[in-house]
Amino acid sequence: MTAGRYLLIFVVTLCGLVLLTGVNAWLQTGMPTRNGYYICSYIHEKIVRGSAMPTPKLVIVAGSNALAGIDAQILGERLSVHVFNFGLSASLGPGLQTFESEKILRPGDAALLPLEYTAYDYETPENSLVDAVYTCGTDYLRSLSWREKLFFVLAVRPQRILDSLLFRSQRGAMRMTAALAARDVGPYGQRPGGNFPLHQVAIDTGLAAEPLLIHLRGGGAGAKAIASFVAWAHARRIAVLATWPNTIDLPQAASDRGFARIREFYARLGVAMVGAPRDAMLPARLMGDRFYHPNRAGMAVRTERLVQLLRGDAAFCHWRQAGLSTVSSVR
Amino acid sequence: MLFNSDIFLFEFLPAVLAGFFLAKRIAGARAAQIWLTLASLAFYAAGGVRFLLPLSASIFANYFVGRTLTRLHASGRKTAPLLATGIALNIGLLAWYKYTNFLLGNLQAAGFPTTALHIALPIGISFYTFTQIAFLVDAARGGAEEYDFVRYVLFVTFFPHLIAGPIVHHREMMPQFAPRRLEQGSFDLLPAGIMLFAIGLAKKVLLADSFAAMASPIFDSAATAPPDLLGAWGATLSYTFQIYFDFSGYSDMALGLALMFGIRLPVNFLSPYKSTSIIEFWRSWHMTLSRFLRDYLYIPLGGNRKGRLRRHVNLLIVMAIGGLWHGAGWTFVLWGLLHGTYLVINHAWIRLAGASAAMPVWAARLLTFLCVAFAWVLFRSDSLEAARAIYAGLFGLNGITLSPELLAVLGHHQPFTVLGLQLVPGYFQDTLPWQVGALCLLGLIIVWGLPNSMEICGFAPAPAWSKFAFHTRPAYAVANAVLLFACISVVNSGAVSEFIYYRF
Repeated sequence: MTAGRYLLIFVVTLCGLVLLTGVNAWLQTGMPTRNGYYICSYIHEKIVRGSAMPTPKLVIVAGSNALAGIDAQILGERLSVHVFNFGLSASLGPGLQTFESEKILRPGDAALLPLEYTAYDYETPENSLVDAVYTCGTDYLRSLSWREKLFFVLAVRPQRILDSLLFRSQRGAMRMTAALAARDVGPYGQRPGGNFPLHQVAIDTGLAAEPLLIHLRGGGAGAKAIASFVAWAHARRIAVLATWPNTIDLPQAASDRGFARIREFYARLGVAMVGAPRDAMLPARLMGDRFYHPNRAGMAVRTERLVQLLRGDAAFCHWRQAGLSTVSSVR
Repeated sequence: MLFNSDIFLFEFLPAVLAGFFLAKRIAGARAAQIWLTLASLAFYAAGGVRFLLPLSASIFANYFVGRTLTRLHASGRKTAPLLATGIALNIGLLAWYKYTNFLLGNLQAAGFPTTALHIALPIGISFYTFTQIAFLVDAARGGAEEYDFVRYVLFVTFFPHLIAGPIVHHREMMPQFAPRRLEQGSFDLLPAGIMLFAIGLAKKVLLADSFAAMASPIFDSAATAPPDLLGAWGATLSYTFQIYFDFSGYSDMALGLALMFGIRLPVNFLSPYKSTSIIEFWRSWHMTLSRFLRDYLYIPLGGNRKGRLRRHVNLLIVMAIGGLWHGAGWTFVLWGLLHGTYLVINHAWIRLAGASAAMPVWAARLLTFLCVAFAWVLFRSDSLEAARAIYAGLFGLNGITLSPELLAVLGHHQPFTVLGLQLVPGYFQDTLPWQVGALCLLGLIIVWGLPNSMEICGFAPAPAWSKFAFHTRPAYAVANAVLLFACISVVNSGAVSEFIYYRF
């Protein structure tokens, strides 16, 4: 067989495989699975509640470290501003987190980003994000570059079709899942009181063998998504503040260069960082079921620290002063 | 730019291939040669435009020194002073970028008031410096006669080998870049090139990265959390396979890429873990570096011509320098010295015991493999403390972790206490130990039981029992496409990881 013929068969097979994957992705678009439907319902509930909150408001955009760790109600009361906790899950990545938060942010609002450390190193989608995007995230998918879209096309598993068929065949499953998601959203967006684990479990086991790496992937998908969100917000006169994510006390807190890189990254975007990494670190007794989930007492401590930090933060005070006038000028 | 990144696979490579064949067809081989040179420089610049400056300076200086050396040799005049200057310039450049902070750190440790400098290491500097040192020596010996500048730039910067080798020779590359040779080239080598590239990519993304996930957490935290017996062995064996699949995968990809353009690079790996001695190991691991060290360091030092003692000293010097070439750290020097010691013992064994003391092949292979794995601990560890912690773990000095339930069952009948191993109650992390064991078993089956990629693709004689020899048959084309597609899917479902040798 000639080399030309070999190459022809090779290319045709490769194209066939790509086509099959594309068909699989196309077939699955809009097909809900239990996990995907829960995430979509949860985000939808947050958008409904967040949109109902009047401008100017401070919207906390991050993963579950903020969801479980910042009490938006107390924060709002202590600072005399409206605060909504739009914390989702770190596994959804900073791209979807910021994209969905854009749906509730209005000119004159402010976004506070206590994004997880993994967001700065984020590159490719996890299963839960793929599930959510194929369930309800076509608008998010459309917003991505072709290379990021390719991630999603190649990432969807064919067996997800079975998960979806099974989920849809169960009577009332969708209604129950949506109700469950709605129950999990507190009035100000944060984790409702009943959702905290009753008992503290072993939380620091993973850190000893696999230390948390504080790493910023400069040209990575996570950094790009954050930069794109900041540009979007600034173009709409939405203030952006950033702060550090909640974690258990990290041994490398004093020396790691990663913290400085994150600070430099935000400085380049024109975003002020509120506080220091240590301000978001809590001892083990104040943590719940993960090393980045404070328990109820931890949430109170972290919220109070944030109150003090924001009171002393020039960018926040400027936004609070300017918020109303910005809104009136836009309207 | 990484060979396993999307931008390389979907944008750079197709564009360069298409441009190369189009340029050759429309404007001739010279245009294709220039296109390939520009593409290689663009490939290098993608890793940092500022690094083009030391690369360009090195190319210009070596080109002119090499030309002059050739003229001096042809006219029968002395070449040694200029050759020494040229080598010193190359070593100086490498030393400045790679070893300045190592030196300052050691001075600081010795009590001198020094501070580290902010020096970024240009990618591939170790490789292109060694390539050009070899060129200068060949030129001084009258072995480098072709001096077309564009071709010389392409010889140094040809992107498949620029970042992490193989370390190539002027005499084996320059003729291949000649317009007439490029003109003759066709699509004939493309199938084997694509197959080799796909095999290399599979080694990297399917195997090396899986082993890295097992090894890295333990090595990264060894200094602060010393691993127990199983953890240390799991990490050591995982790294032993990781570095093999990573570097041989890279080399396969480099050879495959070059073949796509009709260029043959020298073979760099030939089943090193099948070796039955350390001498054999170094003849099949990173072969082009071994060749460089032998031809340009070991033999000029006297090799084995000046007595046994001198040979052993030469071996230790060469291996220590080889270790230091890999990285500016004492762990690398010790790794090199350890291998030097292995070689000395190996030579002494051959001399003292002769053929009568030959081991069974399986025992020799296992012993060689374990010695190599043992040395990789130094190579991988971030510090001497980390290496010490892993070695302590390998010998059971950090105890052995058993679940409290199992400890309760064992009661007083604990076999490990007889061996002096401290039993530590606790649980393994998710991946230990059965997953590591299963993956290492798979690694062993592949490196010991299967023909290597060179044999599969016809660049080395295949063993008689092998049924994997590559042919341009439809089944191979389909298998090649499936393998490449599987790799691309994996590349897209995880973060792109760097090749280990990119750091050197």
